[in-house]
Amino acid sequence: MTTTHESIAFDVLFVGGGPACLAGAIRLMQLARQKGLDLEVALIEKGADIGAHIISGAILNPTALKELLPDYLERGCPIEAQVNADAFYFLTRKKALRLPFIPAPMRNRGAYVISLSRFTRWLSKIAENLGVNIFTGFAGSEVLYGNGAARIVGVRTGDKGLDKAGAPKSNFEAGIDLHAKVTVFGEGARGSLMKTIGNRLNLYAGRQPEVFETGIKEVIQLPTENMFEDFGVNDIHLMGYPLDIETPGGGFIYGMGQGRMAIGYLVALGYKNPWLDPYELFLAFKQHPFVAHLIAGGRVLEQGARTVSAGGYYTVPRLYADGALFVGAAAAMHNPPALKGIHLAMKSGMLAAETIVDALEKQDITTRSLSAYRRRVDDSWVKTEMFAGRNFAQALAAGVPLKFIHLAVQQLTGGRGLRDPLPTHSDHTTLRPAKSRPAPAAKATVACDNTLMVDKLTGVYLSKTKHREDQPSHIQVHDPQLCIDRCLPTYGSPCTRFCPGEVYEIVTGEKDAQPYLKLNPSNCLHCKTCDIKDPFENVTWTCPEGGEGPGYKLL
Amino acid sequence: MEIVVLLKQVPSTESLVTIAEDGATIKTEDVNWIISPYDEFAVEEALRIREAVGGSVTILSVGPDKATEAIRTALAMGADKGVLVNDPAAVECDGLGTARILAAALKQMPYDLVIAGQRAVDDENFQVGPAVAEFLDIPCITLVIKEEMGDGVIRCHRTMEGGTAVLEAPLPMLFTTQRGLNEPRYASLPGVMKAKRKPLENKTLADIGLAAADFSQPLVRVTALKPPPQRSGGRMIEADDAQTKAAELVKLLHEEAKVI
Amino acid sequence: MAQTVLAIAEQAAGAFRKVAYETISTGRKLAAELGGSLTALVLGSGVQEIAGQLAEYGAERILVADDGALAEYTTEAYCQVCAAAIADLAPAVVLMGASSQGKDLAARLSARLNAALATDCVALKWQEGALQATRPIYGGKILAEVTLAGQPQMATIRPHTFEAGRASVQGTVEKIDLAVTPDRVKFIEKRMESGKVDITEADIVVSGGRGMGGDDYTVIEALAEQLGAAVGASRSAVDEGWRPFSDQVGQTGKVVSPNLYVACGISGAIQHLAGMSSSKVIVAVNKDPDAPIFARCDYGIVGDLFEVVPHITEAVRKLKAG
Repeated sequence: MTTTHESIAFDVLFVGGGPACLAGAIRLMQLARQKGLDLEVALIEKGADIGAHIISGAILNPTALKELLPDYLERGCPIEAQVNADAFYFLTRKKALRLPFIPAPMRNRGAYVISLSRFTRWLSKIAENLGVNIFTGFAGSEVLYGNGAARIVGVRTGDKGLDKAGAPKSNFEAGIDLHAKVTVFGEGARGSLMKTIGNRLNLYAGRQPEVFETGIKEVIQLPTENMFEDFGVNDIHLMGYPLDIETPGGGFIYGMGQGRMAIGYLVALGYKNPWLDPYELFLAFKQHPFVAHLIAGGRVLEQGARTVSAGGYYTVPRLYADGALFVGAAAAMHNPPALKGIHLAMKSGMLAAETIVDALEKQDITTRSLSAYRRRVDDSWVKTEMFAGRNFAQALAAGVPLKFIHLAVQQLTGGRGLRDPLPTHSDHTTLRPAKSRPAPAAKATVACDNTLMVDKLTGVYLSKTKHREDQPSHIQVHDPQLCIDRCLPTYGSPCTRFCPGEVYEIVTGEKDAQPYLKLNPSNCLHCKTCDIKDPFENVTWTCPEGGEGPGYKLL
Repeated sequence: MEIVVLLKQVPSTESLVTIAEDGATIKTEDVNWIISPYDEFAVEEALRIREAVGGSVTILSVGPDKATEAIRTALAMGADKGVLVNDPAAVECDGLGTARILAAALKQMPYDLVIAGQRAVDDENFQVGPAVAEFLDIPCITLVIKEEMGDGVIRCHRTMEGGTAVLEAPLPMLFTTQRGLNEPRYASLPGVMKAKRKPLENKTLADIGLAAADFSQPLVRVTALKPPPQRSGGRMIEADDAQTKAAELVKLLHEEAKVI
Repeated sequence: MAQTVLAIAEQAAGAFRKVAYETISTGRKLAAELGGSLTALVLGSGVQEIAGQLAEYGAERILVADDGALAEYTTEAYCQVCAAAIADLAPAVVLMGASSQGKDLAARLSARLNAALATDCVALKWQEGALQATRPIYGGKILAEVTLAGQPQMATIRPHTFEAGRASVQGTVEKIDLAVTPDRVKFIEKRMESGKVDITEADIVVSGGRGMGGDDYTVIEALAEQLGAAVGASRSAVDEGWRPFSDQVGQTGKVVSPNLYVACGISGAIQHLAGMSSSKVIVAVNKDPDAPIFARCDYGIVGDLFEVVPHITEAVRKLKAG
């Protein structure tokens, strides 16, 4: 079958409806107005709506927002609450020790608790009113190259209406070639297009490997009488139990007002123990006496999961290519010690927009003119902020007690530490063989009432994720036999644990009693953990049909 | 062929539907909104008929500002224009009230064929389509799973218990859709762009010759909403052998549950 | 003024449908509540003979509209007869079954009479001078209590929900005079084919899951045929290629809310429950006593479905025969 793809040309195309691209699109239109430029701008988002696939803590540092929209309060920016006080705890199995001192980057008093899903929906209305063409429900399926394959000229959207075998159904709709003078990629952590561009154009050469965390988050509705609101602190971070000391990660609890709380748990994907299950850790965290007390009587309204690009400054790729710029979490814009990235994502988008307007004005859209984006980043507070925490994640990834030494020295040297840059390993290389660790006796048996303590599949349900079953799997396992021949004996099939959506199952065939990999792609939460953590790099995550996936409203 | 599709925006079927504090409405703030699935079949069928015989497809809806999103989606699928009756007095309507509004709006536009969903998946009324036809004094065939357009007539296959009935009606007429009629198309990206420039008219009740006061006393009033009774765990049928268990089950289904 | 309840009793091919008895029985209960009487109305061709059967369910007065033009249901002809009868009787309440015919007729009639209509009701009572109805909305996720106003007040009742209680009375059968003008809608033919009801529209669904172990659904199909049910499947079964996608019940498949859902060899993950938990009655057959489905069903049988289901089929057959 040869499919013809219609094409549409824009001046600028944004890929992804997160804070980076939305802030970028808004800044672009603001500047275009000022300068009297008439620009055709498009933004595509794979979720059914803006915000449907967006999930974050989230504490918003409003610096970038204030620069972008100084009147954000008058415009009805959806703020759930303002941080009234911070608390930082170390959890042991039974106890919670409140640390007397909160590290400076984690002091959030006065910052905002937001639902990033709601926040981006609000931004999208502003962008739309400024004339941005927002196309929700359209996924980028491949990058279009031109000029002897050296220049990025746009993105092709995914086909819709294919059956399981990949053949067109009666309602087949071919993808569209969206051409643009400049394409801005802001797909979030581990963007599926970003990954292909990175490999093809060598964007990661000379960088520290990009490292990630997987986070699982819920919004819980508390009863009218609840311990959390009595507790009085609406920004709580917790480390320690249930994680071992070697693995970085921890939990957060933020008050959202109206008796709602955001609760989440993140685990660095550089973990070594193949038996580790981030979801089970999240459940164990929720059952810790201190946490259980705060959430008692609650009901989970929504759940979701997503990976975070957590490596920081030295993992930022080359930020430009011929015809393209890279923004937000897709470009590792994250401040690891502050646990924040939204303001950096927004600012990177805004700096990209300024670069693009300059280039369009001068009619000089070349790699040279676009490379000014990198300089803009370096001249801005983005660099200052990220540079201070440049070795933080890498220090945490080191063993015990080395990590504490690194952190202490970094604290004294403005982030430089003992080695600068401090090297680290790619997440897919860190697993130790299964037999080196004690296998858990059985799958952890946290009792789930599916109201406050929800099991994985109920969590999938509460993410409102939806995929048409009758389509090719968007999760590509390159060699399924490898899963059985090598991964199962060596690592005990970690995909069955690291995936928070139970997409992966090893089941035994009815007839031949042989184990095989069974995929449930329709459970997928689009978190990308599998693409990152699979020890054999045997999984490639691609976008399913546009408009599918989670349906977040509150996360 | 002038085709009008009656369309309603409803919460998606995956949405968490929760009852608001007043006990008689649902919370709408955290809901994902879609075109009611049966109305989506109606849009698709209208487009197919237009593609076969020419003409135009108009989307007609009653709803708040938000409903324009659903109309735009239908326009992006390929419909030609939209009309939204958007009036605070129309919001509290019962099924008959809605039908009266739609009929009044239809009287102001040309139509040969009106297609509606058999029911909206929120109110589940199964009333609006036939009632509109009555107010317009045109024939109506409900639950249509297949249609064949003839010269001035349309032949419809209507689903019924245990089979289908084939019926024929002269135009103008109204039919309502049944699942299985078609597979709705996707809104294409160029379609989404074109939809922005397609005409979408907002009308008040006064614009279509109705008075808000006529709708202040609905004949059907929702007094309370409640969640369905929770299942507390099944009654296990114990017996020594499968045959006795099966017999006991069938007895219970017949005598206690009364479902067979 | 004496308050009348008019119950329209649906028949097909010269036999009353079960919902007709349920309608009569419910009408009798409502008539008692409003201190009035019950009148039944039967429409069709050659139905005079069967009309008297309604007395066994409490119809004291049975009106019969017997005419060749009413042999097959068409909206306009039936609507005319009903409207005339209602004009004559001035009933407080008009009831019929929420079948494909009843839903169609009630909707048109309500518009003609400007009468309040509650469709697909699962409970009805007469209280404070008005009909109070309970009806599922949002695919059964919510139950709405509604109050009707005006005269008459109409309701359609969900089949298999109200009791068809016997209450033998002395019924009088009266033939009513008709002048049916030809319907603009022409009946061409009827095609009766068993089994191919879409699962979302079926009153009863019998589903098989991973416990089927293969694509042989004979035992499920046999039970479905006996019950007049549609056949559904869980995602596992569809994933394995045992059943087509169109049969899949669940979050990513179809959402069904039949009166009876029989889950065979289905463990009951939330994704499946999301597609069928608003069914009125759920039966589970599974060999694993710990399967989550047993916590969400009304009746459960622990056992091998290949052994249990054929016995159920046989028991249903006996019930129908006897």
